[in-house]
Amino acid sequence: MRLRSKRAWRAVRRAVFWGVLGLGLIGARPASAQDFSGKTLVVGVWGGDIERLIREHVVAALEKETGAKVELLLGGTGDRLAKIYAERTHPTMDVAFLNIYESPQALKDGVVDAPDPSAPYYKTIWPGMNNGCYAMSLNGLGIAYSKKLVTSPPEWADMWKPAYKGKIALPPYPGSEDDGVLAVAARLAGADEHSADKAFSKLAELKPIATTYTSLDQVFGLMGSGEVAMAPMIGGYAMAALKKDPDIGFVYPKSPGPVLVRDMLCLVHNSPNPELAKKFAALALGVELQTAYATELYFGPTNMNVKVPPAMANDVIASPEQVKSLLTLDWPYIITQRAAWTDRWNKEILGD
Amino acid sequence: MSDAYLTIADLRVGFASVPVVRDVSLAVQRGEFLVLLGPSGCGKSTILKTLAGLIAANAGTIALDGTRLDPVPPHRRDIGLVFQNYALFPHMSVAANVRFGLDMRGVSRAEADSRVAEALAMVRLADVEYRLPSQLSGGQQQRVALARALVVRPRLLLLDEPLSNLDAALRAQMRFELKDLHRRAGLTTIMVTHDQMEAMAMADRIAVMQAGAIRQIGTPADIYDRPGDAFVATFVGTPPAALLPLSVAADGAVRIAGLPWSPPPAIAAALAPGDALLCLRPERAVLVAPDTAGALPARVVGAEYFGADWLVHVTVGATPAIVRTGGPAARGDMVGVLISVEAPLFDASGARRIDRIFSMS
Amino acid sequence: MPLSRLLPIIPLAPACLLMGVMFLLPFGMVAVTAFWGQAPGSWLVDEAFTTRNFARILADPYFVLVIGRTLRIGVEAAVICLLLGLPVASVIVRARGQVRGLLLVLMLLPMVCGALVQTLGMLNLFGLAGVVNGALKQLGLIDRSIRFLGNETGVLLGLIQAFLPLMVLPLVTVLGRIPPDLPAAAASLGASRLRVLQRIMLPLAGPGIAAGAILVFSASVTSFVTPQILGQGHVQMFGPLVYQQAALVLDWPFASALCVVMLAALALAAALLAGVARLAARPRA
Repeated sequence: MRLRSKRAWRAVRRAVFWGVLGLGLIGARPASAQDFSGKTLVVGVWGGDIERLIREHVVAALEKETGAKVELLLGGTGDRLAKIYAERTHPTMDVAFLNIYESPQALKDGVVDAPDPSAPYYKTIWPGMNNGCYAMSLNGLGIAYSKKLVTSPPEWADMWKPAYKGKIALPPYPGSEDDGVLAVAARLAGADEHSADKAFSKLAELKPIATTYTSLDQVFGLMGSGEVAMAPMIGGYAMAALKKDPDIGFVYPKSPGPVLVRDMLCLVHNSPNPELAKKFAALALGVELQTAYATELYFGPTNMNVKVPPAMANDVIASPEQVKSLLTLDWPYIITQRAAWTDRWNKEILGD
Repeated sequence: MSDAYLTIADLRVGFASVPVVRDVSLAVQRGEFLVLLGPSGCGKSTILKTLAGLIAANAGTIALDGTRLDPVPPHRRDIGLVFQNYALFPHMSVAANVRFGLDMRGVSRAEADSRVAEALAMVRLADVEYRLPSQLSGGQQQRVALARALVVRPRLLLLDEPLSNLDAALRAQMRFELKDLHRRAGLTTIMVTHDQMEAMAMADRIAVMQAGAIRQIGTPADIYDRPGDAFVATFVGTPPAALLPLSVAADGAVRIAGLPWSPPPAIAAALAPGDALLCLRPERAVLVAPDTAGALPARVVGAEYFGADWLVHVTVGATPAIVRTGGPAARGDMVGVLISVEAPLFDASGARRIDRIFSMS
Repeated sequence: MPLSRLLPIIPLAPACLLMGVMFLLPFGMVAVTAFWGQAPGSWLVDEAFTTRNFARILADPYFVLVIGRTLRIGVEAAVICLLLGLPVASVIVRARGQVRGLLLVLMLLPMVCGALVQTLGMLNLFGLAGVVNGALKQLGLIDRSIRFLGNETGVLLGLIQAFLPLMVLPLVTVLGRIPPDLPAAAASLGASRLRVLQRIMLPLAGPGIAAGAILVFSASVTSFVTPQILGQGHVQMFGPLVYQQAALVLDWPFASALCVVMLAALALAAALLAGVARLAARPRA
């Protein structure tokens, strides 16, 4: 009895020892096989609503899961590209959100990693969308219009009607909207974006451009006062804004269809925290954030598993048919023309 | 008045309801050197600036040499003004400063050259004509300002505290030079100063001002010996005169500064019952033994030695007074103060001289 | 003692360091980058020495035109700011105590808001959908908005509005230092108001005029927000052009070359302005 009890006591002591040790280890490294505490993931992204949604749906979860910190560097894609190009031998940024016209070039220049077809989040994205980087959101270039001046939803060709001469507004070049408009103009002239002369001469017929707009509020104000009839605009942004204003309409035209534009999520080549970056990509490309993008920003999800509420089906690009109707441009070609087209735009579209 | 060179009539200048100059009338003869004397803020500089046209008058007229001056803009008045701080143009050489007025008048180059040289020679500055004002001493700057005003041959020369920024030695020298210059140039001159010694030394006539009004105009001797009121009596003279309250009772008993006093019989006979102020100038009294007949009873409170003479500070009753003497006096001593020459007497308020009744001679 | 001689320089060190790190170093990098290029079909900088960027700038009338227009608008802004600023500064200088302080604060208030807020304010006032056009339409005077902005006049107005304080402040400083007796003395010597201004006030205010003119000119030729927003794409100026090339086209070497050309033009213009100002302020013998 005594001996047994002694042996039992020893067994209890051993159990307590290992139990305490185990609990201590669990306490130190909660719910994670790998320890990321002390690490900081640096993500370059746009400020505003996009930043807010990423903080709410990705940053909080990732920090909790890994113990790492996530730092969002806010700015435009020009800032991010300048940074990752300058630091390409010793990058400090792990993830960079870019535009569709920038990501193929970034991949070509070797500053970002090619999308990995074996990654689970690669497979949930609509086929053919991962150009250069992972497709983050789908958007279409359509036409915002003043319902006072344009009575029925316009087609691209309507922008060239004499009634609207001098009442078309465009954003500053270069940008995906203007590249898209050039491609549309080329198609209306019977060619495509590879025929810059036709694109520019067709677009130049719209001169004088009413204004080069730098904010949506600005162009909506001009539509309200009847000074601007139509402005090519990215659907998501337009849709979210014009729900507040009954006099402004937005349409995805049919001939040709809306130009497909995308935000891309890029993993920086040689980044300091590649594992964390992949975890960030998995969350960002996952159903939760993509759903928030769709319901709050009208940004089309790239994740095929996202269910868009039926009421929003017409406003958000989410179905295979919608994706198929979009006009996909030769972005890698367009980007090589950027410097030349910028000069032409300055002179031929804006100049006197 | 009508034959005067400069006539100021009922001049009023002021800001809002506070007049700085109250209905001043003044006549100045051709070639006269008139000094406006008064404490700061009395309006003397304002009169000068009004004459120059830099300040507009609210009422009154100014006539110079028979024509109205007040409607003429400052740059057409032909009046030379020397500022207290000289107001030399810092970016121009001495010669360019002096030449400025000639340029404005379109004087030919050759004539301007000779007139500038002449003016600089007159103030003995010919050797510094290419220097900038900042490279000159205060006295030199003063002379440049003078030359600049004189070279245009103004109809009237106005000097605004011209010596106040100079040190004591230079001030005494410039005082003499200015007066000499006036004699040579013969320009009708009005000078403003708060320094009564300057005024006495330089003026043909002095106008003593207080609170925007002229209290008295007269020759320096007039002002000093026959002051029109207690203010003028005490403002002019260094050290200042004392005012001793004098009262004569109905029974003929006399008290001075509260103390009983037996004036000499000649004076006593001239007094009538009533109150008055007796003006005691330091230079117009002597210290005597306390029991001297007719002397004011006084106590010595101190003495200052100046080489040539002593200033003995005394009190008559509670009223302080100063007597200029040839020798010292011991503090605490009782002395007599004998009024040795004519002394003015003012009514009890000091506003008016009532008579010169004390005569020891 | 070398140490005691160094002592007065020590407080300058942080400022020198800051200037060195924040200005000279980046400027040196810009100057070097301007002689680099980009490989065809790539955004990677090719560090091989080339003068291609400069050849492209000087050969294309567009870039020369933009730089020329920018310099011209800078000069116009400086001159108009001077004409508007002189009376404003004289009023401020003549005002007493609290009124003077208040006027200075009022003058500075727009600067506190920053160029962006001011420019958006201009847009709200003079834009196609702005208050002025709205009022004119309400009154039935026009039925289509007048294009006040989107032209050089609009940009110029915006620049003047934004940078007038840069002219007024140095003017207030120099005019405040001119004793009021100087113009009075000149008047008493027979100078009319015009001659007083020409012979006394302007020469003495010369350093302030030069400082104000250089400030307004430099701020105008390098401004980005005002030409970008008020020019509305119709008035290309240097600031937006460099932004476009650097941040949007991502051709940093070319943007750097534009900066170098502009800086050379600026240095020339500043030297010219300073020379003119010195000439105006020259002491008269």
